[in-house]
Amino acid sequence: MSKDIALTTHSTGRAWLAGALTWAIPGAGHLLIGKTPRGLILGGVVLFMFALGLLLGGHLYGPHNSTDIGLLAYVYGFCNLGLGAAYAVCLWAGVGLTDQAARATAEYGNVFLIVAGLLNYLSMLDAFDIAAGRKA
Amino acid sequence: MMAFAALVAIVFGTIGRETARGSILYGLKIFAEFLGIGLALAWILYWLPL
Repeated sequence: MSKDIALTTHSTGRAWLAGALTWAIPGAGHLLIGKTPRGLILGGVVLFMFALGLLLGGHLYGPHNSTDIGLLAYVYGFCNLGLGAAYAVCLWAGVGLTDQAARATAEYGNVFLIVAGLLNYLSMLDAFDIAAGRKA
Repeated sequence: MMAFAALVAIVFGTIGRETARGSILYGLKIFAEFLGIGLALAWILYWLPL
């Protein structure tokens, strides 16, 4: 570990804000703490995967389709929830909620949407750690 | 699979290392591992009578 990393374990309000902001808008937390290139790369990739997932015919999971696949909808829904505001907007607008199983690429789309959410959780933790001084 | 591997490798490379050089090398390693393991699994599944 390099010497210029502040070895502090306390979490400031700024760290929580950076984490929450990254969750809501991918990459935004990094922009807040001055890690612009990192934020643009992470946010760009997450949002690109989200868009690609929808274009491939994937759909978002959540309580709305728990009658189809049961409890698994909540597990996948938790993964999708990592997309933050994008997930909320899709739920509100009714976009990407319908299963398009007839499309050959629908399962690929589902995987892209699930992994986009999970990667945004990682970005969120990264932004938190940087803002808290645990990481350079 | 390549697009998926590339996108995930970019994120892992960015988060996993702090220097630009380290990020690129780590991202390339992740990308190669994704492709290698994916192709290996595909061939294994091809020969299995599923």
